[in-house]
Amino acid sequence: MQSVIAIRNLTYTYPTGVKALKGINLEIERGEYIVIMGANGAGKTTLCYCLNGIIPHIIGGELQGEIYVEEIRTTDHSIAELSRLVGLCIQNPEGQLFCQTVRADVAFGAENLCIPRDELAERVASSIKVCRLEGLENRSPSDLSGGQKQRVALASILAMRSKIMVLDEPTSQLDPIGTLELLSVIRNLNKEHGVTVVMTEHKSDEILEQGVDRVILLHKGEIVADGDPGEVLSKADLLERIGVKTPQVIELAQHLKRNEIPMERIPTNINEARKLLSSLLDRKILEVKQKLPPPSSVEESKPSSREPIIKIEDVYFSYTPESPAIRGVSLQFYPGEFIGIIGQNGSGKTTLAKLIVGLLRPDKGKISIFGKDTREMTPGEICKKVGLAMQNPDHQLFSLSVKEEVEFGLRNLNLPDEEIEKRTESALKLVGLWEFREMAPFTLDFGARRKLTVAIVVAMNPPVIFLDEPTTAQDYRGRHEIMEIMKSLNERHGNTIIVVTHDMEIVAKYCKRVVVMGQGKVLLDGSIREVFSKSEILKQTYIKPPPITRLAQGLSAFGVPPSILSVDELISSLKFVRG
Amino acid sequence: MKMGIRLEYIPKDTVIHRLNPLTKIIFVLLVPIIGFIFANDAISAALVSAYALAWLALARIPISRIKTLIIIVLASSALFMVVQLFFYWRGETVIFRFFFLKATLEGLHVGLTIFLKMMVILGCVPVLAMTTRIDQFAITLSKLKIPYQLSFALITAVRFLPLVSDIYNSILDAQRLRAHDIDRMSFLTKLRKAYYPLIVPLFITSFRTADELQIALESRAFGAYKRRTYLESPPRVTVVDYIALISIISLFVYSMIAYRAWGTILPPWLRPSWAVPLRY
Repeated sequence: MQSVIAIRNLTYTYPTGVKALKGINLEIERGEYIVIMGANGAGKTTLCYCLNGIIPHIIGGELQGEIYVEEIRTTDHSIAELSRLVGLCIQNPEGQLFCQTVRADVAFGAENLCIPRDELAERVASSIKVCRLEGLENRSPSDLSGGQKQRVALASILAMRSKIMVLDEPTSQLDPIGTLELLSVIRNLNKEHGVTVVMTEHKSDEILEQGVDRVILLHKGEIVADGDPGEVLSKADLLERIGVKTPQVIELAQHLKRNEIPMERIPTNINEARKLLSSLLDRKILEVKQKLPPPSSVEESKPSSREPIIKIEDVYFSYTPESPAIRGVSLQFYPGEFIGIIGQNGSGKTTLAKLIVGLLRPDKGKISIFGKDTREMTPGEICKKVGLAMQNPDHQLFSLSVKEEVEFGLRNLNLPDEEIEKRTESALKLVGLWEFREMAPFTLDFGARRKLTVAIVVAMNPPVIFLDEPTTAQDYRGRHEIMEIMKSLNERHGNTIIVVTHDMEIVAKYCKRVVVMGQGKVLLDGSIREVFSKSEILKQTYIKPPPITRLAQGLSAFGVPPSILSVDELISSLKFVRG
Repeated sequence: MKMGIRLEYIPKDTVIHRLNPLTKIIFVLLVPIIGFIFANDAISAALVSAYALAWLALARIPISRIKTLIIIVLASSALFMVVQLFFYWRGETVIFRFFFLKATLEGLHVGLTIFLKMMVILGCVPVLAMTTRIDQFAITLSKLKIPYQLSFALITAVRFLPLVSDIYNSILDAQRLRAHDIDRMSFLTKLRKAYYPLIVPLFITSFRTADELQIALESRAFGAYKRRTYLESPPRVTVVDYIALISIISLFVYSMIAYRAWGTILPPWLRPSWAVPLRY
């Protein structure tokens, strides 16, 4: 086999002086499907940009070593030339579509390559088909869901007939089923069309189930592991150290191994794990304990006795008359609850958040906070009761230092100086940014900027904290750090926490109550176990429970409780029979 | 306050949408000249603005989409009206007095004419911007031998404006979420306390967005060759285009001749005595 990409001794330093890659050596063979994993700041995006010449042609900086793509040295050829060989798909689906129809966007790259019109039409049609965009050809890309947008970007690369695709966290903004659909298109491109795929990704469970050829772990600019996915992702200690999530199936397999359960091979996906467990249950090597649900969980008491903090009564809202965003939502949130709001991209979660804090006004219906109608309050008054951290930190930070950023809101509350000092310090210490207090917010890395938006809300000390997608584009460690802060606020100070997220494991681990939204309506509202057991309704809104829950559901014939939320719960519901 | 000057394409199937982009380019180039230079009295300006607004009506562009533009035109016209009403230097016929100020009939006519001239712009700009698909527009420009990099710069600007206005609105929202009650501030306090802090993040984020756009563009071989091909076939010229072109060009030629003779479009015998052509 021939290497299509060869990287020798690559060391790269950004113009800002940050050393992002150190001594990278990498050979990629034609037709391989490779996934690069690592924490935020490990150098994944930098490596992607090196492959099609954006580094050093656009970004500059100091590059040592050699990068060859199809035996062409990237530093000697322009991006335009390289773009015929390597297609790049970036993280932000919005940022890479330029045209007014899907068809035009798919054609864009190939048009630039001067492909004659007959062939163009043929290429566009086939790319649209492969990326499953039929029927959307004449739609405006801005009307599509995040997953569809990413597939348009893929189709465009495909129409350029690039034989190598570099995808930089393509699923980070997608809902669970949108993620699976995109990944299945990518796998099909790889298997059926022989495209070499290099992808960076955080979602280790999905990667494992994809059956990719090779996983590479990056840590602080260096390759720390490179090999078979099952093998690399089984190195739990290493993964933990570098901040990559261990897939649940692997976690389960390791538990089994520790208990000396006989296994022919380590299961690497849900199906294999289910087969293994059912055969173990069949052979009575494992038994199900009859405790339902596992004792570790504390189901919350029905809150009907208390007064709701937020009361939403039959609210309607639309941005344009043609497409209503919220269609008759009624919800009540109670003090001390920990609530997850889930649902597919575009199901109205963010709109609901904005309605609650008064950035938008309901067209119909009523929202009250502590019994007061939001129509009589300005956002400035509401934020003392409900603090919202919005999605994109870049659009929320505007001060010249981290400290001023936190103080901004506190000054608007007209607090005395010493109180402002005190609150700023404690909020920044809580999120671990106190030592960066004098830095400019936009020089912090993405995870830190995200944490700063949380600190801002926490400092204002509202009884309700509302986080809109705190997990997007965050690595495994960053997600858990933010959620742990929320958990401690919830437990120690009784704050009500509401979190909008696509990360079902986060939901399973932290949220007690879950609201499922789909097409502007509330589809489900109940305890986490209740909601995850209704997989049919969840599917409608592109949600899938975490792998371990799905595994437990697949084993319900053996009496395994279908409401399992974590690997530990599954393990503790099983009994090992030796002998 | 939401920035709403978004002259984006509105997909519809109307006569105006089907016109060749070139016809619309000629419309947007010539009709404002007729309105601003040749139509120099209120009646003539009213006729030209009626012509331009008829195109807008044929394109069935919802008023809500050009609300901001309408507000800008009306607000600035109102200012002109008041100023001209009281301060037009040729004003003689006094209608009423307001303290020491004299409102004159001539001033009223000048103000009204300027207002109607602005209405011509209001009619023209959305006709091109909101009924022409950008890719069609790009092909037309390429047929005119304009380098595609240049026409794409225009397209990018069109795309970039809404992005910047989105960023602007979300930063504004972020500030409101931190008890920055701009809804309850006076205009001057707003200027100082609300809009000023927007500048830094707006620039930083816009630069970041521009970088990302460049990366995405170059990754798709933009600028690889001097020329490029187009998937879409070039828009056709139909009978309707000829009719539209004849109406624009004959109006333009007539107006030019009339302007040289009478200083405005309409001959004196079709104008009431107060509709005297403006002289500068």
